[in-house]
This record gives sequence, structure tokens and C-alpha cells, in this order.
Amino acid sequence: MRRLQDKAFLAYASVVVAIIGGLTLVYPPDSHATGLDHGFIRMLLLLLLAIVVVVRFGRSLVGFLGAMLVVLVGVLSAVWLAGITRIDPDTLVDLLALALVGGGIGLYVELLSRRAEQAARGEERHAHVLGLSVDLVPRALDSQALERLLESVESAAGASRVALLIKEDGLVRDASEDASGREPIDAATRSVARLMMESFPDAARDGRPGDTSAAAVPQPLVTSRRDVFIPVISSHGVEGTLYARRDDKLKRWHDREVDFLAFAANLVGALIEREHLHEQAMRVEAMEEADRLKGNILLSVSHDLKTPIAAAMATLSSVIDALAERREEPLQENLLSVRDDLLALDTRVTELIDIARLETADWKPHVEYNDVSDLCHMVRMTVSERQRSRLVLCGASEVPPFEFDLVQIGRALNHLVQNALFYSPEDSPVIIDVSHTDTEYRIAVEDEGPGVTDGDAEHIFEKFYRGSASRSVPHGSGLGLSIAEKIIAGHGGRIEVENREPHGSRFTVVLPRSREGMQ
Amino acid sequence: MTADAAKNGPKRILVVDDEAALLRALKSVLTQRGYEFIPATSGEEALEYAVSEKPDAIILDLTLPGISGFEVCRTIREWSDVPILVLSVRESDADKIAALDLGADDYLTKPFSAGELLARIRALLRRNQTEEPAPTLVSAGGFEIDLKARIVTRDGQPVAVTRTEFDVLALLAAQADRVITTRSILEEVWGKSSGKGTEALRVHMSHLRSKLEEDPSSPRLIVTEPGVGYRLNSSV
Repeated sequence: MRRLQDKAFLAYASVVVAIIGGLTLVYPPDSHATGLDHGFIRMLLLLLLAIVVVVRFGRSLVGFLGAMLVVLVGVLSAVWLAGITRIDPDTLVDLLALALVGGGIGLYVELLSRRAEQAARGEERHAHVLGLSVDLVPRALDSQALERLLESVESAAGASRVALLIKEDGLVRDASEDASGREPIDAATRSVARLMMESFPDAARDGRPGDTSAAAVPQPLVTSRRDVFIPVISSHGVEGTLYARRDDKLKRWHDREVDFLAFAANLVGALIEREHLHEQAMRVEAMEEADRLKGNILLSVSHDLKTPIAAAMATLSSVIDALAERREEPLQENLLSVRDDLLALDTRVTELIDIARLETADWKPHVEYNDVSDLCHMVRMTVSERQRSRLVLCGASEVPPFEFDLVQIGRALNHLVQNALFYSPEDSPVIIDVSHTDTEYRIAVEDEGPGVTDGDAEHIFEKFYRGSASRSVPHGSGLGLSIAEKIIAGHGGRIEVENREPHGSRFTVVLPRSREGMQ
Repeated sequence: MTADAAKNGPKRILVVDDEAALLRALKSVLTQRGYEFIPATSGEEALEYAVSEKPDAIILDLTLPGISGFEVCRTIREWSDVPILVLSVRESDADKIAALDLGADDYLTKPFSAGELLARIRALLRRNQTEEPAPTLVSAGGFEIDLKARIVTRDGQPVAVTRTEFDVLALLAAQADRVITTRSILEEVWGKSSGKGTEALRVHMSHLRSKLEEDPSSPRLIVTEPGVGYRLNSSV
């Protein structure tokens, strides 16, 4: 039933019927115009049919010549069969006309059938492409998958050979030569492919992205009747060249077929692009996993370090107190120094725990209403007694209680204050100035030290970064500012850095006033 | 015998911690001060000894294997009022509050000094030591707080405080030297369903401090326990 719906077949059938009808009209069975009888007419009709069939299957020029031969043979045999010894000129003209009409009809039918064939090929390709896309979507593009893809393209495009040529280590090679097992692509072809890849401006070299704007995209290159070269492009630039060869010398590459090959090249480009993205995603995932692991290790190691410190601290402080009661000053001095070292060690471990914890995705500040004075007091208490007199606090009483995580912000401020105290002269003040505007709360920590150089300003919040001031006198773990920055960022705020006149720095913690700013 | 070991013999302290190093350290600190030291290394042992040894106070580490410190706290509170001091790590404010809500009386963060530990133990024992009813007169920081008459005086001169301010002060004074959680204060002073938030409390505290503290920005009488609550220091 499908055949009847086939437009091409209908075209044939209608033409044949038209011919028969037309002839019957012109040469009615009992016509006297040419003195020909029934049998002869029937033979002519059959002859006509033969001409049509021969031309159709003979394919153009060859078919036409064949048809003419058939006419000649047919006429001669008809003449011989009918016993006609003399053919008058009219009949000859009629016969010639018949031949021409028949040939013309045959040619037209051939044209129709060609179109039908192309349509069928087009549908076949369409089906192929559909099959390919379903096949390749979930799969990675390995040698075998690529070879299968190229084989499908080969049969769909009517090519004898399709290959993907890529540049590797300066040489051009067939991407699927391991899987294909077919004869290798010759050097001349590979040279053309190389030229094409290199002529592309800013072509991808070693995988770096190239210029893929429309103007820069090279067009398919048909170098001879049998070879087509099409660039395969991804966001990284030219990945390779799709090469197609047709050994059948009689058939040139049609525009439509070249278009199909271009489509196949783009498909390969898209698949390669997908591989790139997949690799990237895996790398990111691996890095995140490594970070997570690192955080976990850091956390568990740090906790293990804390306990011996706590135990040593308890014992040591007990001994110090006992010595104080017995007034043994010198010994007590030494032990106090040991205690300070222990505290310093504890602080370092605490910083490691802090940074590990802050970098986990699920850390969130515990926000509630707090008095800024409590914040300032906390900071004062964490500073050593000796340094406490250097602190100048102002503005806290003017700021009403607002919502923030007291413990976390206290720690962040503490880091800023410790830095300020350490990097400025022993007798200079460190000012903590609290203020607020309509939209934000500002807590500034100011010192009279050397200030922050431009070079350092970009990096000071990075983990373990040592600014120029601290490179000669390392202080702490290098994590303090990083921890402070993460805490403030978790509150939806930021830390502003500027230098003071004549010298010194000002680190300002800025917290948003609205709840939304903190989310 | 030192002053810490008062009448009725030395006080018995049950110390629960799975870290041997810390137990060793606490043993030396406590025995030096005349306390009797009873170690337990797990939640199960803690519950067992709490019953069999009848300690006067319990020092309980929150990070225990098996039955957690919280569970121990909750269980003991079901049948005893014995003072419990919990040991916590620095990061877990939520843990401290949870323990206090479950019935612990105070907390200490590691690392702590011996002096801090002993001061808190003293405060806890003082509370339970006496059989008298709760004190009506508390003196701290140069002030006298008369819980019955509801007045605050300094050197005999009355200090003007509002009714709510006195309520807060009285609550802290009645449990002097022990931490009171923010939530407890809110519930006791304003009632459970008042919906009053911490903002109001902070404001009242700020006013109290300006009236009572020598340097309100550096409070020594009423100290904030960050993330947990407040504590009144009677020894100021």
C-alpha cells in the first residue's frame, strides 16, 4: 500500500496512462490516416512503453541512446512483421515524433524518479540521524562510538570513506584508527586537513579556546569530485577535520550531501564539546571532594589536638596558682610563659578548626539581638592584659542592640584587633569605632602601623597569605583575616580596607541593617 | 585541709570524661584542693556512680562515647538535684545551651584554667551546701540586693531601678556566680508566652549596667556569656 502512496510511482502511472489515452485519441483503432491496422498500433504502444522503461532505467544519456536503438529495432521488426515494404514519409515523421515524445516522457520520468530517490535518501538520512542522536546522547565519545558514528554518516551520505582527522603532537591522524581497522588515510589528504586546521585564525592550540565568531568559521572544502573536508568546531576552536571520500567517479558531491556532512561535522563538534564540559565537571567535583575531605581531616585532627592542650592547661594553671600562694616568683614566671605558649598553641589549633568549619557549606551564623557593648567587651577580654590599655572603644553606646551572631562577629573582630595590635608600635593606640547609618552598621578597627600596601590589599584575605609587613616577622597562622572575612561574608557583610593619614590602616566591618541582607 | 573542703568532710566530685589526660589533670587539680575525686570514663559508668557514690557535684564532659553527656544530664535530673558542671568545646554554643536547658547548672569551655574550674565548683557547692532557705540578701560589686524588700543599695544609699530591671537583677543574684540562659531570663521575668525577644533584654541589661557598673562598657558585675546568657559575679 505504501507504494501506491509513493508520489513517484503515481507520477509514472499517470504518465503512462496519459500516453495510452493520447495515442488512442490520435490513432483510433480503426484510423485510416496512416493505413495502419490494430496490431501495428498495439505494437507501437508497447514500443512506447519499452522506450519509457529503457530511458528510466538506462539513466539519462545512456538511456536515451538505448531508447533510440530500441526504436530502430522495433520499427524494423515491426516493418518486417507487418510485411510492409514501403513506408511513406508521413509514417516516418509520425514514428520520429513517437520516438521523441517517448524519449521526452522517459527523461521526465527519470527526473521524477531521481527526485523520488533523493527524497527517499533524505528520509533515510533523517532516520539515521535520529537513530544516531538517540544512540550517542548518554554515551561518552570513545573510539568505537566515534567509528560507529562515522560509519553511519558514511552510509547516509553515500560516501566510500568518512574519517575524523585530528592534530595530536603536531601530527595529523585519524581519530578512530584504532577502532576502524581500515586502511589509513594517505599523506596528501592529511596535508590538506592540516592546512585547513591551521588556516583557521586563532585555531585551538593545545586545547585553548579559539575565535569562534561566525566570520572566522571556515566553510566546507570540496577539493575534487571525490573529497570533502569540513572543519569540526567546538568552543575550544577547531578540533579537527571531517573528511569524506566518494570513489564513484560518476557521482559528484551534491550540495545537499555536503550539507549533510557539515551537519555531521557539527554533531561531532557538539559531542566533543560535551566531552570537554564533562571533563571540567569531573575536575570541579574532584576538587570539591578533596576540599571536603581536607576539611574533615582538619576538623578531626584539630579536635584531637585540643584535648592534650586542655589537660596541660588545667594542670599548669593549678601549679601556677599553688606557686603564687607560696610566693615562688621566678618559677612562677617561667610557668606563666609556658602557659602563654600553650594558649598560643591552642589559638593556632582553634584557627584551623575555624577555617575548616567556615568552609563547609552548612555553616550559618546564629543571629539574635545583641548589645554592641558586649561585642567590644568580648574583644577587650580576649586581648592580653598588657595590650588592653592600648584599646580605645567609642560609639558603642550610641548604637542600639541589633541582630548579629555575637560569638562569630566577636571572633572576626578579635582577629582584626590582634593584627592591629601586632603590626603597630607598642605605645600606639588601636581604636575600635562603632557607628551606624540608615542601611548598615560599621565597626572600624584603626591602627598607626605601616598601613596596607596596594600589592597586599588584593591578597590579604587569602588563606596563609603573608603581607610584606609580616614576612620578616611572621605572626600567627596567616588564617586570621581569612577567617574574619568568611564570618563577615556569612552575615552578608564585607570588610573594607583603607589607609590612614599619615600612616596606619583602617579595617571596617560593614554589616547590613536589614534582615534580608543577612540571608 | 583547705577552705574548700568545708564541714561534713571533703566534698565528693564525680568527674566524667573519656580522655585519660584530662582525667589525670582534673584529679591533680581537685585532690590538691581537698576534694575527693571519683572518675568515670563513660555515660554508663557516670549513671552508675551517680547512684552508688552519691557525689556532691558532677563534672561532665559533653562529648562521650555511647550514652552522651546530654543523656546523662537528663537522666540524673530525673531523680536528683546534684549540681552538674558541663565541659564543652569552644564551637558549640548550641550544646552549652542544650545542656543548661536539660538541667546542667553551669559550663566551662576547654581549655580552662584550674582557677576557673574551682571557682565554679565552689559556687555550685555553696548553693547546695546550706540547708537554709535561699538567701534574701545578696551582696556583690559593692551593692546590696534585698530580694525581699526589692531594693538595691550602695553604701546604704538606694539605687533607682525599674521593676523589670530589678526582676532581672534578682534572678541573676539568686543564682549568683552561675550562668543563667537568656531564655530562662525571658521566661522567668516576662513569662513563657510573652513573645518578648532578646532585643528587650539587651536594652534592659544596658540600662542596668549603666546604673550599677563602674565602667558600663567593661562590665564586671553582670557579665555576658556570649551565645549563652548572663552571670552575676559576687566576688567583684
